[in-house]
Amino acid sequence: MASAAELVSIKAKINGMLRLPAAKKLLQLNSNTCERAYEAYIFALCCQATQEASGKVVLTGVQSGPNPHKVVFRGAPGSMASKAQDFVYANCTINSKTFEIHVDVEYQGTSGSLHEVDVSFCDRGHAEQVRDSSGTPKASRSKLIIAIECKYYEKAPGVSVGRTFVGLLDDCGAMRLRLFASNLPSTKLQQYLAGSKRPKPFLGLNPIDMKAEDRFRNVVQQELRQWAQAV
Amino acid sequence: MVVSEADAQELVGEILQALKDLDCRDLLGAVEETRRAGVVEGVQSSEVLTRSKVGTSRRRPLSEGELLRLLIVMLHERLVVVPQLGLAVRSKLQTHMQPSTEPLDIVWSAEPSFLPGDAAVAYEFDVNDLLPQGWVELEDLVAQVGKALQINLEERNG
Repeated sequence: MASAAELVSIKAKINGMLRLPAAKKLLQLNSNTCERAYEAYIFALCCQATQEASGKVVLTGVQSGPNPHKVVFRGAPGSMASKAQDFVYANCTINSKTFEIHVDVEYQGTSGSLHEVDVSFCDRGHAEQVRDSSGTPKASRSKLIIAIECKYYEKAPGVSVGRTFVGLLDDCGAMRLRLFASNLPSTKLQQYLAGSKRPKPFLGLNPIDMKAEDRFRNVVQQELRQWAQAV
Repeated sequence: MVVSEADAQELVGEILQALKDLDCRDLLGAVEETRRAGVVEGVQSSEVLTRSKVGTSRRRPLSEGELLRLLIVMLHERLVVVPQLGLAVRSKLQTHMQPSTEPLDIVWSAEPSFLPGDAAVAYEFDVNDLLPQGWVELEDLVAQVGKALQINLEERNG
């Protein structure tokens, strides 16, 4: 068992660490900030995967067009058609297929309900119609190509978060790929998502695990290559 | 070092007090939620349970040692993983910009029309907020704490 001296030492180490200015700033971030940062990270991985599938990726501001001088992500879910701010999306092309990658936009499910999809791949023609008409994109096959649920958790995620996404997907049409990504691994969530009709889980996906990043990008890349070959 | 339940309780108390002093409401909320959730584990099957045909999973409270481990994992996510998220977003998106040598300004912003008063501020931040000055030394410090408490931060499973 730890000696009294060891206990004093570890307490001092912990207190010293938590009182560093950098630690204070990070600990005081609200959970929405961490969640949104994680979604942007998954978006960046998707852009990388698209490039690795021999695709072209151009970051585009909804107001300013290609290569905005400032990249603006949504701080809260919103409409794809909104031009209230210069929100960014990725304008992509693989072979003759054109699509866009968005963060935190709402889609209309088959029931008519609106669902926020954390990271989504949307057919470009459909996205342009949405912006032109100030409408809402539809979560149906050929329009919503890939949907990714992103969860940043301070503790290992429970089964309920997987259940919520499965429920959302039930209201969407078939799509090529459905993924669930979280920063922390979870045995129970992994087991829940093991079912054949459940989204593919990527639990423990974060920048300090290079292998997890590689696996994720490979799955997205393979799916895009296959889709781009289809007539 | 191996910590007893009493020592773990003391360390948990120190960490929670530090978080309270720093007014880390979201983290403290996550700790409370974790305590309430407890741990779900399988119960050893026995003839009685089998004959009763009931489920063999039960929820129990966290031990102090388990709570300490979870707290260290939480600190690792905040102090190590969050800055790495900021770094990854900036470096990965830089390659898609033209010209790619220009430093990338990345912000998050909410539409104020859906939020009352100045509530939109809570949803706004800059990538530099994820990378405060001095963040680099935190990874080593967290690793030292994890090692001292024999907590494997590479297997942060729940």
